[in-house]
Amino acid sequence: MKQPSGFVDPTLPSHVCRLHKSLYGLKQAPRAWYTCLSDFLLSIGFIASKVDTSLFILSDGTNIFYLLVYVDDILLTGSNSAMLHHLVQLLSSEFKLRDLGDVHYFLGIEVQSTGMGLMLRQHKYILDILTRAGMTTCKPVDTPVSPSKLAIQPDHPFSDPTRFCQIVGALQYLTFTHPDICFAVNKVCQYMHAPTDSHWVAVKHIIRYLKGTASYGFHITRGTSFALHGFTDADWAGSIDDCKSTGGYLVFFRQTPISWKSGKQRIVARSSTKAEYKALADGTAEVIWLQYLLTDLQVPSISAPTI
Amino acid sequence: MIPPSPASPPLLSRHPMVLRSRQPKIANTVSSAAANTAATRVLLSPSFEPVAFSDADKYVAWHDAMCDEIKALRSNHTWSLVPFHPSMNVVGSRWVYRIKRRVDGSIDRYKAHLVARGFTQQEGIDYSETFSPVIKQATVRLVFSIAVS
Repeated sequence: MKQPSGFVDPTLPSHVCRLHKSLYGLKQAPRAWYTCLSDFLLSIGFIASKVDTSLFILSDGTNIFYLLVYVDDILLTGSNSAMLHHLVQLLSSEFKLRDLGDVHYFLGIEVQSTGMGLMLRQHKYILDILTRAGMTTCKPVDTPVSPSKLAIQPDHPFSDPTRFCQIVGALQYLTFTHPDICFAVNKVCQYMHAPTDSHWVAVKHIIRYLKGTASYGFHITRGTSFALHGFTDADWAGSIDDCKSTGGYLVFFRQTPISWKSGKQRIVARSSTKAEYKALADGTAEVIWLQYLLTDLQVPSISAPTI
Repeated sequence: MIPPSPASPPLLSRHPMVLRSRQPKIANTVSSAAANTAATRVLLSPSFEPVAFSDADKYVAWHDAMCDEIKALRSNHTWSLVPFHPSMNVVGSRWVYRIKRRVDGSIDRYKAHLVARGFTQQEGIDYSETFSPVIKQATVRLVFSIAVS
């Protein structure tokens, strides 16, 4: 690297810096941070999960600890609070960190403990989207999608495509706690490359729906059984543009939905049965992945999943 | 004491693009930090975030912030100086200036950040692997779900 402006060594002005460590802005900087953190975690006994490499697990036979890494947001949970405290001390000896105590806010999601379990909300995030879209005083609607179908239209392009992409991108992150808008967001996402006025109307429809449901949250309830239930569905030739079908799945762990997806299928199904089978196959793959994840999390006695 | 030289703050661009004219001049890059004495710098606390090194270096506050950053980088042994060889792809660097404010809007501190210009890197020479995993949403929800029971 070139020597930084203003701090060039006066005796060796033509020398360059050989970097031993990564700097912000380098292509490999995120990877270097991840390697640094994961090496440390592995050295203190954590094991990286094979199915999700950002999940680290520490187990000593009786106690078990999970550590989730989202770049520099770290969530640590475990069955023994004294050892948990010790782990935080270990981490802070290596990295400069702030212990935020009990989780209230993770990745922009408000976490609230209720008597029945945990409530996840993105209330503030929804209000931010409403402000960004200039729709804080809009009239709420009861459904996320209007019945009319969207299609690619060569005329009437939307005046500000960048804004369209920004708002839709913001909505995509909202599906973290709002499976109800998953289908609607996926639909408008398919027109990101060439948005038109009618697509913008569909986006506004979603935002008006959110206005009415902004304070709704996602409730994770307690339970004793450890069972996975998967549900899949598909339409047939739902897309006007290319006759492809839209499929989706929703997987419950106990009474809580854990994983969901809605998306256009890659193949053109020639029968509705084929479209349904395709959705079933995608849903099954997800359930199998979740089963591996549960095994890694050392959850005991998982009964056979139903789909 | 020399009065604040730029009466009006220099024009700040609203776009993230770095214009060649706004980059630090070569003349500045070869002058060492010690060559500019504190007497030639403005003591006034600036309330804007400069884009160019030459604008920032006029202020004591920004200069001190840069010194702190360099000190931190040196204490971490981030780099060593080596003679230039034509086979090297030399990546540029840039200063980014940010004013950290408190909740009430008053200035907390001046922060200067040295960043590498990653877009001048060449794959194979400067880096090979860049993939960095992040947690899946389903994993977060599943762990929450197990944690409550």
